[in-house]
Amino acid sequence: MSSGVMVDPDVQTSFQKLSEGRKEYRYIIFKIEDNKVVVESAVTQDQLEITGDDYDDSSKAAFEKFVADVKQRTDGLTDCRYAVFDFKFTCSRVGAGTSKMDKIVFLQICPDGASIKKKMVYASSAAAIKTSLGTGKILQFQVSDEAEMSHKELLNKLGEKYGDH
Amino acid sequence: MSGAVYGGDEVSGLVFDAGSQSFRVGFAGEEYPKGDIPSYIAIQEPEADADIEKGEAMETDDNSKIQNKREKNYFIGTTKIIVPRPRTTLESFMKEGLIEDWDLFEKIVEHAYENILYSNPAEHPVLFSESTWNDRARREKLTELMFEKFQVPAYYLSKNAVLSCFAQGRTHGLMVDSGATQTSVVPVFDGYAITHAVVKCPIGGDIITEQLAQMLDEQKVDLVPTYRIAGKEEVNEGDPPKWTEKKKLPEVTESYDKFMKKMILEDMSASMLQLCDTNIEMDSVDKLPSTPYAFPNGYTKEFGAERIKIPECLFDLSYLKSETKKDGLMTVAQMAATSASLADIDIRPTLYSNVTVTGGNSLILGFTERLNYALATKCPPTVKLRVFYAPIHTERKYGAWIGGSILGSLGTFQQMWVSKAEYDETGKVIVDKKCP
Repeated sequence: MSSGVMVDPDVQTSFQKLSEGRKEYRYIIFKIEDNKVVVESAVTQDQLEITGDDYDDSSKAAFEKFVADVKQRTDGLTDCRYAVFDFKFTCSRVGAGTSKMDKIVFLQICPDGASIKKKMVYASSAAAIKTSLGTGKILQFQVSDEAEMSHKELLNKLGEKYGDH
Repeated sequence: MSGAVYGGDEVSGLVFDAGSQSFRVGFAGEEYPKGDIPSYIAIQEPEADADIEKGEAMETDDNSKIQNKREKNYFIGTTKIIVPRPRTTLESFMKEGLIEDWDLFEKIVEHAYENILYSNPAEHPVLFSESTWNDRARREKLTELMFEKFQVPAYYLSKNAVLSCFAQGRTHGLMVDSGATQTSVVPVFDGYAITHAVVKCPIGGDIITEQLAQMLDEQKVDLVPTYRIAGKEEVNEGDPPKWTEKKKLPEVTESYDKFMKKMILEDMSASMLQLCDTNIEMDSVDKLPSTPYAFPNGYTKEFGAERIKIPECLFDLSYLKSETKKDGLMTVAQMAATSASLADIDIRPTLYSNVTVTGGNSLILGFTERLNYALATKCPPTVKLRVFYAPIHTERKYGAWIGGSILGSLGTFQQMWVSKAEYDETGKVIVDKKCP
């Protein structure tokens, strides 16, 4: 069952710029506007102005900037958004030592503080945007408060899936 | 698409959510349902022939009235069904979350259109909720009924677990729905209910009222339903009540008496029961502050340990007093754990991290905390368990309806409706294609 909300073609092209080729974008935030999922902002690596290496701190600095951006755009987590983030991290694996990983995470951000109407619209339209992005390439997470969106929490989940600690 | 004419922002859709306790109806886009009709309908049997003849002799001038007497009378709505009437039984159209009595169901839908929504069925698209375990025959029958009998312009059928899940802003979750007649656990993943992993048990609000009745019986408390009381005097706590019986009461049936008693018990359970955070410890039980409860006949009694012992049966079956069959019953936490273990292993952690509680019975104080505790002892130690619930009571009680209301009001949802034209072309099987 879905809401029938359409996905703007820009969503897919922007996502390709994040996932393929030169990987221009670091993260993209989407929102639903006029019954369509549209790109709200797409941020490149340069715009983040991060000096250190992403693999060294497992994208912590970049991710924190992203979270701050989301919080500002949702007015302190009282609105919903979708977002994709290019998560670069290192994890240890048996036999392979530490390896650098690069995974795209999809976040469905429906904070408890958002109105029930917003939550319903975003949840029922999630299938549409996921189909457009192609679920094979992404890892999905649903976020209902700030704790679920913390860098530590996500890194843990990625580690569980790809590492073995 | 022909459905595009309807369901736009201008024409408001209707949302119907049928439960075993009540039938919620209202307009899509509104915050709460317009009407919460009891699922119980009072059915008055026609008078015996001899009585009618007697009546005919007495009131020969009123022909229309006499004709009516030969047919069954139906009374719907809270204020109508509580009136004491002779030869009247109360029956519900629902059984185990499914529509069982279609004639009664039709009557209640008619009642909703005429007396609550004041609208013409042919003018509004209708969104229905259904149980996850609803079968194909019933789905098709409901579709047929709405299009053929009520001539609705467009229609949609949606799983109530999915609606409540979406209303929480989630597409995955383990939906624990504790209602009046039963509790069910439905895993939802990516917006679809996982039907093979649904677990349900007839343990819910009705069991609790049963236990309450038994407890009152043991304590020799006479439960007097409101309809028998003409007047009462104020008495001190614990003193025998002083009340006078209503005169000229018609001879009511047992089912009516039982229903009226149940209404008091439901109020009792809502106002004083509470669940312990952890398993009950006998010494802490006695320390619980007692709460007085005033019965309709003026009798007031303090209840202490009973307050937590009675709902405890939801989580510990040994607290369930005999009479009720224990075989095959499961506690709420066992049901949740079983349901999660029936789902695919890859999604189990997601389910455990998104346990969501809905349903009227979950409003018992401490329900969510207790579920969290009980489930923590049953789920694998590595998963991160989180139990969610809507903070506002009405949102939890009407979760599925509210979800349907928002969905039905979306302008974009118009392409999802099954329109009358599509129904006419394909027949009732269309519902299996368009409403997963």
